Parts: sequence; structure tokens; C-alpha cells
Amino acid sequence: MSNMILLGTRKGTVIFDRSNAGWVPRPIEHPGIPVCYAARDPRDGTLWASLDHGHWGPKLSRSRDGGSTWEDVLSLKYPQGARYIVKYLPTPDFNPAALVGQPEYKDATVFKIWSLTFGPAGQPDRLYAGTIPGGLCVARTTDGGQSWQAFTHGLPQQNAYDIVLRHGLDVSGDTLCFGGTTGNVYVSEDRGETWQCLGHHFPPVYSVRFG
Amino acid sequence: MPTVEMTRHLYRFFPVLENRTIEVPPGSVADVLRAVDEIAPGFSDYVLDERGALRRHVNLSLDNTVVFDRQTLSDHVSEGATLYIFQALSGG
Repeated sequence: MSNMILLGTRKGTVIFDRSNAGWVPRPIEHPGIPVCYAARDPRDGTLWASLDHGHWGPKLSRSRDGGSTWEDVLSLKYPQGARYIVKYLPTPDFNPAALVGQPEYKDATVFKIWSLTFGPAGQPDRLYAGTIPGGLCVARTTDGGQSWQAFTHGLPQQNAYDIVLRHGLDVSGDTLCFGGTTGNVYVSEDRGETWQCLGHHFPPVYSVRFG
Repeated sequence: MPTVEMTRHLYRFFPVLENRTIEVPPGSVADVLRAVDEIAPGFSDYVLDERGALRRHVNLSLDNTVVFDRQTLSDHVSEGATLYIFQALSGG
């Protein structure tokens, strides 16, 4: 039974603790800063908050002492050459040969760290992150967020318009699976390094969970 | 020596920069920011993106002139100049 509730809010991280008197909120952490994701790593109890500074870029904050003190973690960065679509997001009837309406691309820099998923118990310090606006890639850290690697092998890097929702990625041991809003589902059996497609024509996928 | 002044908001993350005069050697804007990052490790990650360009909602000015090169930060910061770092009032 969990004794903690974490809220990521527009103005900071709110933590509630269970007590005999009911759920008791603590003073707000990261006051004034939008927190788009907050979660507790079930493996070692580390708390994570994804901060969404309006001016200073996305940052990850981590607490190893149950929320008493927090530290900045070196932030996730895209690899050189990452890009995103600025306009003309193609529709299903998009004609790649047409002279007009071609997508325009721009170099991508991390705008938001939208979700975090923790690796299995046997792989401490392994986390997976979902970001905006990246290409189709899965970012992984094996050292608790100090450094990140982005994997794209087996994932389409051109004409890919997949959007992965917050519950669209799950982890079970070395196996990862995610699905996107364009109906593609991918699975990796080597911790995200290479991917294969389970099908391209599902309805928009809202959630993926291992059974 | 050029000096660097910045919005108080950044002191929250880098208290080491508060209540002191920040003086760095002359050079490009990129050199100056690198020097500040040496005083306060991690600082440039707040002002620049992972390509080394100025973040979209951050402005720099050299004395009374807004910094022109936001991509590679090549504007020269001369002896006696002040580099100001502040947030853009953008958005709606």
C-alpha cells in the first residue's frame, strides 16, 4: 500500500503523506515552476520531477531523501541531427510527390520531458523518457539521469508522425513496448536499442501495459 | 574586464552568482557565458539549448544593444562592456 501521493502542478510539486489523521500535504516543492510529471521510482524510492521552466528550458529534478532535498540532474539532450516538423503535418491522403504542402523541418531541441518510466528492479538507475518535440526515438539512461542515449534503430526516421501518449509506453524486464496515435505499435527486446513493428494499422493507441 | 548582470530569477538556481560583481575576460558572447558557467556549473544549460543557441525566451544585450547572433553567439564583448541576461516578455 502506498503512503505517498505526488502531484505535478502548474506551480510546483505537491506531496501528500498518509498519516493517522489522513493525507497530509507538505509545503510545495519547486514553488512557482510548472511540473509536468512527478513520480516515485518504486525500485529505490527516488522521487523525480520534470520541471518545465518557461524561460530556462526543461530540467529534471531528483530527490534521494524522500523529498527533503532536491538536486538538478543533467538534462536530457537530443542527438545531433534530430529534427521535427514545423508545419504541414501530413494527413493520410498526403502525396509525397506533390509540389506544395511538403513538411518543413527544423532542428529539434528538447522542449518538454513529458513522461518518465522506470526500468525493472534488476536494472537500477535505468529510466526511459518521453519528450516533445523529438523524432521517433526512445531515450534511455542507465546512470540515474546523468547521461542519456536516444535509440532509433528499427523506428522510422522519415515520414513518421507518431505521437506517443503518456501511457503509451511500458517496460517489462528487457522488453519495451509503445504505441502511438497513428496506430503503430513497436516492441524492443533489448532494452530499447532495436525495435520491430507489431503492426501499423491499429486505431490510435492510448495505452500500452504488459499483462 | 567586461561585467555580466542578470535577472534575479537566475540567482535562485545559482546562488553563487548573487551579491557579487561578475567579471570575465573579453571575447565573444559564447566565451563570456562559458566563463560564467565555470563560476556556476550548469549555468549555460539554463540560457542556451543543446545546440548552443540562445533559448527562445531569453534575451541578451551588450550595454544598450540587443545581441544580434542568437545562434552561435559571436558578438564581441569588449573591455568595459556589460552583458545583460534577462527573460523575454513573450507569449500571451
